[in-house]
Amino acid sequence: MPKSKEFISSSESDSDSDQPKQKKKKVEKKEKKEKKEIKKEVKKAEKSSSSTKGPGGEHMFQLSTMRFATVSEFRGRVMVGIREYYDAGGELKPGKKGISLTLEQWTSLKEQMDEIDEAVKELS
Amino acid sequence: SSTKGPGGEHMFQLSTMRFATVSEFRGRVMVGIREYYDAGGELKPGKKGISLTLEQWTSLKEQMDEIDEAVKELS
Repeated sequence: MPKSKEFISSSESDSDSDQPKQKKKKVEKKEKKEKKEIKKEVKKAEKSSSSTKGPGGEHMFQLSTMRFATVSEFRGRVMVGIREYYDAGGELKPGKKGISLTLEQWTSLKEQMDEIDEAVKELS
Repeated sequence: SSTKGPGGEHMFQLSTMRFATVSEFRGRVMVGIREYYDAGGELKPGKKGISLTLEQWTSLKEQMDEIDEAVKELS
């Protein structure tokens, strides 16, 4: 009696009998890859939604077209900058108009935010 | 709560010589963050600093939490 190919174990690489199984594996592999890529894009989008990285590797938070708040490290210290940038041949570069605050100064600024807003109200 | 500076601006101290300021310039309210210097006993605004429009000041306030997050990451 001829041996039925259907009873050959799945571990053998007989292309004829394994066709439905191979197809399934291929589809599963594709789905796995797509899932991974979607995860990557979501992570990317999540990262980019909060800040972008500037020319010096600093975190950039846009205040206007060319003005940014930045968070960077300088000589081992975390600095918060508020600076105007300029276009240098397609590249974004920090301009001279601006200031780099130490963490202490940044904290002071945050603490007085309400009082600053009050003064703004008075003048508006 | 605040003192008045040389140009009549409201001053909020950030450090010995650095201040946040609120002033009017050409009819617009500006929020400045600037370093001042001692000019013969008189406090004067230095060149290190920036004057933000109200829009930019608002943008800064709106992103304060995110800025703090980035600070946390680097600390």
